[in-house]
Amino acid sequence: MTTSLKRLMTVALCASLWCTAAYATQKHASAQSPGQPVQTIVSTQKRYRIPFELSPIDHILLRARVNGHGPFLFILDTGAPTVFLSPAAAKRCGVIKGTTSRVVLNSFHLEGGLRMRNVTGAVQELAQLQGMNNINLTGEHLDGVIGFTLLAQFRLHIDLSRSHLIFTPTGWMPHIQTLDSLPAAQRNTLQAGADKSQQQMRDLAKMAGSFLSPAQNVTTTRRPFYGIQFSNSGQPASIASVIHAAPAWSAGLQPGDQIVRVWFPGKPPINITSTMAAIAALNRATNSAGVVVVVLRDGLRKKFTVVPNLGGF
Amino acid sequence: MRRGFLTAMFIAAVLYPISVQHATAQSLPVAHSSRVPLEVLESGHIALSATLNGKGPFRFILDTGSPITFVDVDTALAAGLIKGIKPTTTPSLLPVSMTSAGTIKVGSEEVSNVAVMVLNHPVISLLSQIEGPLHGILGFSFWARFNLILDYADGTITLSPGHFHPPDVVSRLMSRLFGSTTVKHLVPAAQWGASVTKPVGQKRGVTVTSVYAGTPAAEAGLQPGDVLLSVDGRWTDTLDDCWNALSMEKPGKPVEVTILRGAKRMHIMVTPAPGI
Repeated sequence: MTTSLKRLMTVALCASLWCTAAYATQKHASAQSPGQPVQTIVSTQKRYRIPFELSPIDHILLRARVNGHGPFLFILDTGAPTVFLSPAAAKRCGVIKGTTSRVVLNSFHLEGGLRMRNVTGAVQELAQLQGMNNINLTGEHLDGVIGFTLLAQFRLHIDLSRSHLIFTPTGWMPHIQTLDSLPAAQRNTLQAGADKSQQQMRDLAKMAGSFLSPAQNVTTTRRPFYGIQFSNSGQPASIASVIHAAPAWSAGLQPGDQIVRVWFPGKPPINITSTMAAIAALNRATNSAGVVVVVLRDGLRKKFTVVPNLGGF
Repeated sequence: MRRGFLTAMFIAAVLYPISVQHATAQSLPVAHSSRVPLEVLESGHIALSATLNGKGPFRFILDTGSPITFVDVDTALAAGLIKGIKPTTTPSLLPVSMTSAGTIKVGSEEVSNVAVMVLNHPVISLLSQIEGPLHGILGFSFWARFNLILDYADGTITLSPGHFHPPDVVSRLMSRLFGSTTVKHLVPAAQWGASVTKPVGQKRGVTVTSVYAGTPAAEAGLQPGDVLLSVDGRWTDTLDDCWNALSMEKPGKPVEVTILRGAKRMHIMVTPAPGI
């Protein structure tokens, strides 16, 4: 296989996500079959503010607890017919996979306060999710996809410039046609086509995995707390107040002090001329090692060692 | 060496359409909106009608799960996105071309230079067989440029110009795939005046260990021993989750915090202050 062919096919893997699952489990995706428990929204708000994150390849990621377990990470996907949960996640939250992959999730709690019962879904290893997890593309493990059977009950307000999506329940419950209700010939064509496209995606995922090593894990650090407020946002970096008993207070910093230098152990000192610079420098702290802060007080330079509070904010 | 080359080619190919989009992201229309029919398909997909370069209308699946916008070969030819390629309806995951659509118009809303992959998507081909002709998928490169309201019950979609400026996807992806360990430094955007810890074995939330007098946390009535469950709707089950939520809360803006005090679940409002 030529390089350019490989290249193009791998792009298709990354880019042609989610629609491919369309009919693969459609026969199990009937929203409300007779005798099945009814999907209900348990919480009673008029609308829900749902926090989201954008993945490195532009997926909207939502978190949900399933049957009290998790949180699990889901892609919000209008191109998926139902809620998909990976077999591993399903096992963790006690969802039993029977002879079919279709499941009813007893409780589904979306971050932001939206609690639902009897949510229709499917347990399936989606080739695209697996492919992305294999090369650790988002740095977080993706557990599933939230699709039509859940989304259709809401008016969805999606504005990526905001911190939350807005879900407004409309009381509408979609009816979904199942593959079983189609004429046999059409059903067979569709089932075969869906299986084939999942297989194609699986092959692509395998190939990408063969020449892309998994991306490194994401590690996080947290900025500790000092207890300083500044007089202005410009120059110089004058301290307006110091919170009583906070690290800056314990170190001896006082209102009126002008920060002129910040020095982390083992790092070159940083000269400070503005509040912005002082905040940027102090923000670098990732642990509770003492930070040397040089201030101008009554025309004299004074040096203090501040031990920031790792668990404070 | 060979592996590095392949990887570089892969990145270049993935990023090409994205960079086309980002280079021209400023060309947003001015404030107005358009409410158009949203077709809810029996397959559980949603479709809408759009013109490409003034040609059409064509029928597209709207897919928030697709980073890329796809147009099938014959439609791309009809709209003049590609030239010199033989018409075909054969499904394939192999892209024919990566290009940028001149204009895509939905209702009265029009955007230009949307990154497009020309490909006869196998699932679109399948769906077309029972849902009627479909011509592609409108993905992130299209919809992220709008402020969207999807109303399944009403069967409408409202689009108005968005204010979202995508983060630098190029450097994000490069550092994801090539970088050594990626470090995400979580910086609270405001000062609250409290400390928390995550006790071993505690499942939900982080526990407040101290509240500094005279601070926003104290004024809001937060107390040591309270379990902080969420900040502005974001779960705070780990210290990282907590700091991630705090990084989004700007000074001066009241934010709802959910706490557990003893067995009692409470919502309190905190207005964090500027400071570090």
